[in-house]
Amino acid sequence: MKTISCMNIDENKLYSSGGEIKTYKKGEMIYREGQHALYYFQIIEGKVKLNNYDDDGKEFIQNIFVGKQSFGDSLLFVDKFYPTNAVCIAPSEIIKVPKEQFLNLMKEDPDLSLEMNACLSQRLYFKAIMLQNMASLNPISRLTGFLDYLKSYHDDSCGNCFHVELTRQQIANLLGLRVETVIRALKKMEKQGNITLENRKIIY
Amino acid sequence: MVIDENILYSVGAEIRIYKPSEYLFTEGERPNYYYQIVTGEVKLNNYNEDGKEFIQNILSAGQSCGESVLFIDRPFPMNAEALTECSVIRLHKDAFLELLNETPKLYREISSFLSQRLYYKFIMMQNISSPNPAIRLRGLMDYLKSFHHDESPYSYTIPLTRQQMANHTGLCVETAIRTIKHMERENIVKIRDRKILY
Repeated sequence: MKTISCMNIDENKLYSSGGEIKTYKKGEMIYREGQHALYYFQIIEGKVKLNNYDDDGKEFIQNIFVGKQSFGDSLLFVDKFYPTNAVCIAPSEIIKVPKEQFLNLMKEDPDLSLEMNACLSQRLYFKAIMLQNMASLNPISRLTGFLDYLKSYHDDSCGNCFHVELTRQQIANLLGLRVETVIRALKKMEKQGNITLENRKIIY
Repeated sequence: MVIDENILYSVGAEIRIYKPSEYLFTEGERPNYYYQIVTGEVKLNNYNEDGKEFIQNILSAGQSCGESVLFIDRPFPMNAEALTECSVIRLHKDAFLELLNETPKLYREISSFLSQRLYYKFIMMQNISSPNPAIRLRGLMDYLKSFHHDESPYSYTIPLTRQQMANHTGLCVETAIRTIKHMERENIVKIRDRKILY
């Protein structure tokens, strides 16, 4: 069962709705927690993380997005402040469309609205599964749930051939674990034959 | 999300009564219906391998449930269990999608509604990533209180049992009780007749 990658709206449609391309450097912040949502963002190329920091400055990553995906769009539909920061973790090219024009585009194009609902639903699905995993105090359950989800993005369900494109530090921050705990848990999963490690890359 | 009941009936919806602890749907099942609660309370939950319950959300009158999976090709990621006696309107998936097709402005409402739920999940994810039970519980209480107009301290009565609070935050009930007592000593909450005021 493949997970859809969304939103990926035709770039020409975005340009004709006032969309413009912006280039960001690695480490640059696109928006900050607590700000109002003013734009729809779609990645052409690059990588963006949504994160928070707790009172002790520990980072928690909510999600990581790549090319042909949008982010932060749910905040265009509710009157709330951004609950996360959005930060580029690679040099990125991003189309941004002003909120009002984006909402008009949605209104005029019911197919896009339906796609938007599917996309939001998919994100909710991800969060529901992640929440359940995260409620567990057992790091291996957290990891397995997370890897299963990532793998669902993968086209064909070959046995053990999914390459995880995240660093151990990123995985730790996505799961609210310490990096040492992640490393230990991965080694244990390798011994149990649930993953293979090749040149430090995780294959699931 | 609440769609006018008359509109729902006009396209073939039916009302059903559920007894406490009866399931509206279960995890892994294919979604066939849109559900809207008329009276009563429904909880969305999962059980882990050890049978420990995790509550995703508690919904009440005027709220819908299970609609998000109607838009994606997935089975339900959770159970929906009646907490009290409930009357629930249910509309078949095909009729629901057809209704949306004919009423494009409902799309926008659904987008807003899904976004609200997503916002809740963002907040809960952040809280639950913490191993500290006080942060997990306080995050839940902050979220619940955010719907309450009065922001002054102790003006909000937490509408959940301690067991439900524990199951919302992945904690043991004993830990939740201990942490809440500790919060009372630190004047973060007040407790009156076992009710938690925040």
